[in-house]
Amino acid sequence: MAQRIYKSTATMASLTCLLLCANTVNAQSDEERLKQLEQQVANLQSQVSSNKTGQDRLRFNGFLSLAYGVASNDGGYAGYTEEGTLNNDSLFGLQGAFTLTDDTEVTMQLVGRGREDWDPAIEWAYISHQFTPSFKMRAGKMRLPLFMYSDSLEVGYAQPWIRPPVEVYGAVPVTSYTGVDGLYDISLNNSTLSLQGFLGESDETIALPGGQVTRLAVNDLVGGSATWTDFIWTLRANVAQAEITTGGDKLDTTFMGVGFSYNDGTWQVISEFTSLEIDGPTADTESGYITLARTFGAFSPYATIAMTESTDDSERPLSRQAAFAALTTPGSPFFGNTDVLSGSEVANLERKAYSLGVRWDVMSNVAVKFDVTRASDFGSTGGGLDGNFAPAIAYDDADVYSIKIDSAF
Amino acid sequence: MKHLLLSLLLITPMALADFVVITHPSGPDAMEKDQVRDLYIGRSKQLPNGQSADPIDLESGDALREEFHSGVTGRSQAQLNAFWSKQVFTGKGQPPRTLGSTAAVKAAVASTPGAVGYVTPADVDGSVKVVFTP
Repeated sequence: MAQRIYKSTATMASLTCLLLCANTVNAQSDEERLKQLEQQVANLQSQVSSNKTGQDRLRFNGFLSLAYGVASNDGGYAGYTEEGTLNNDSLFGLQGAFTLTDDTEVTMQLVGRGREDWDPAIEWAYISHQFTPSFKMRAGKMRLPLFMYSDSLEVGYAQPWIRPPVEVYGAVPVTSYTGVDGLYDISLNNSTLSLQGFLGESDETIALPGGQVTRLAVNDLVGGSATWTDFIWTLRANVAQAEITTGGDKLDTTFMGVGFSYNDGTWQVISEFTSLEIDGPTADTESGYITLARTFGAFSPYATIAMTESTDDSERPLSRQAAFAALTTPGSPFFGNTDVLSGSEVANLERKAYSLGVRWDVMSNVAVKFDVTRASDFGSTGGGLDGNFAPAIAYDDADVYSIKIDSAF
Repeated sequence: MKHLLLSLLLITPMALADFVVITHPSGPDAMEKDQVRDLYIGRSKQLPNGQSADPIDLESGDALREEFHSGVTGRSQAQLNAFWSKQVFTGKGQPPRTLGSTAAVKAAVASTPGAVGYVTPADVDGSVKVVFTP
């Protein structure tokens, strides 16, 4: 018993040792005393390091973005109108990560958005387990990993832009899912290949173009991504498919994306191309962007060209006038049913967007960004602007001027 | 005037204070720049000799920290912060722990197997092993 206590706590051992050393000092050689002192130091060190682990068990991080934007007209591009608003892109996030064991962690992230009255919603809530140094699995609510910046979608501080290009990132209204994923990292000579596979589902209320909201269920979601990086270059490709339900129809949907980025510390190039195919007359889209940025000390100006277009316009022969007539005429089979719009030429889409902006790193962990974006080249379509979901196209283009403060802490 | 020139000559090499990368005496004999970089961006968690790595950074605002990162990770402090915010909020990792001085870094490295740090060449003594010199 005495032996057990003796071994059980390092402090006791050290103290006992000190007493022993003092009492029997004459009987011991210098060498033995040195050994005991070394043991004491090692004991104290192990205590210090175990205390450190205790403090690291729970970690909190947060981010905050405050944005003001105003548009040249009321078309509603990127959520902005002539009136100007602070709420559209402003948000805060709080993340807690609790370490259960060396290999198991629970992560939760709350995000409150200005456009949702700042009501905090759970964006991430998952448990992860590192099975081997290169294989990890997660289960819970996670970001839908369709884009290069999906994971840090709302962490403005981690991004060069004022907002991810709307043409690409706005193409899919669902940004998270509930399910499981597996992440496998392969270390190559001086680079890493990360493979990710995921499956799950989602069911949430989304905003439709034109200001309507609807319930969108995503079932049988399965997908994967491959990302190769040597820290300077990153190449990524991903696919996903699912069965989506809005209203009554179940529609098979396929998503594909490729992207690359280059960052040598001075120059930065980011580009992504994505394709979304949905069964039936719901619009299929192809979208892409390229961003070039250069860092001059605390200033990183950038330029982006982005595009998006629908690729199946021939599946929607119904004209704009006819669709709105069917929607608004009492007695018509589509009276009051906005589905008729998404199956007509109103859903045709063509748009380019040109952005010039600058990220200014004012101080550690705070960046201020300015951006001017012009959306134009709508062809014969409404360009996807909310204000053009009307019997006649009212807006041929839109300019949005924004300023944003991004912080992470 | 002569004195001014002389003191400028003396100051300049100090302003460009070099760094060396150190490990615990049980660490590897030498490391490549990319191996050091991978530890400090969280991509590698092991030293070349298989020890579990414990990289230690200086606190932000330290001139030697800026020099180390511009030489090894090739990122400014702002870019490094942006990089880590991306890693942290996507659950991919945490930045290395930080200490307030090269003396504290040396002491921690000297007493922790697997620890890696960077200090000025003048800080180095027999308690640590130099594994990389730029």
